Amino acid sequence: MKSLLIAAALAVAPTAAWAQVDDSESLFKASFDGMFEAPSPMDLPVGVIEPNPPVPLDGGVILLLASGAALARKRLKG
Amino acid sequence: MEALGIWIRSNRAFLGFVVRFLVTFFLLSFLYSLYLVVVKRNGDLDMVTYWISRLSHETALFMGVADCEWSCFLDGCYVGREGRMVNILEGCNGLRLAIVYAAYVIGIGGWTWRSLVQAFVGLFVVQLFNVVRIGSLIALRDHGGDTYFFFIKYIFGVFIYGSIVLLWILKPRIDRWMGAK
Repeated sequence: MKSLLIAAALAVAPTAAWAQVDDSESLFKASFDGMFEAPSPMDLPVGVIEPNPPVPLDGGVILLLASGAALARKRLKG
Repeated sequence: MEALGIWIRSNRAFLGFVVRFLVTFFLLSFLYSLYLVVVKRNGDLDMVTYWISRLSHETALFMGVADCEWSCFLDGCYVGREGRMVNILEGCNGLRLAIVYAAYVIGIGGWTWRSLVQAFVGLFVVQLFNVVRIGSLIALRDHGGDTYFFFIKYIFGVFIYGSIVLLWILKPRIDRWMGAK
């Protein structure tokens, strides 16, 4: 009986030791997992919020230049 | 050819105005564009847009817009209540219109101290009109409805251009106030 127990212990011990090594290795691997990999870019939602309408001036500068010239023509002619 | 010479002689004053008007306009526009390039290169927002939006925010608060927020980014500022903000871009700051005003004043009066003072003060007066315009737009947007779109498209354009033409029409009177004969 005694020698049967010793034989069983000798048979099981390497398996237990192997399992322990495997666990610590996987823990070791897990702690470094993804540490040296570049993060993948995050996709941001586009056009979800409708943009606010701007305050335009409609390129009226040219119109203003023309009206300034017309006003000056009238003033300087008189 | 002779007719052209007669026309030039009879319109000497007007041609002098055109030259001064255009030279001043292009010179001031060039300086402003140069400033914008430098500001953009530094990754900043121009100070004119910053101050116009800040004063518009104050005007909107004065007009009773509650919870009016104000935030600036590189391309412009957002002013108004959350969800009903007005985007104030560089083109809205009114400086190009103020430059046209100043060019006219110098074109008519020449490079005199009186013209330069009027042009300088006019830059601020035109900006004041612009601040009232944008402040009212923020208040209208906060109020809601279609009036905002009608005002932004028609009424406020006429308001800002009309204010400049009004200042031009008042120029002889301003000259008299300043002691011109």
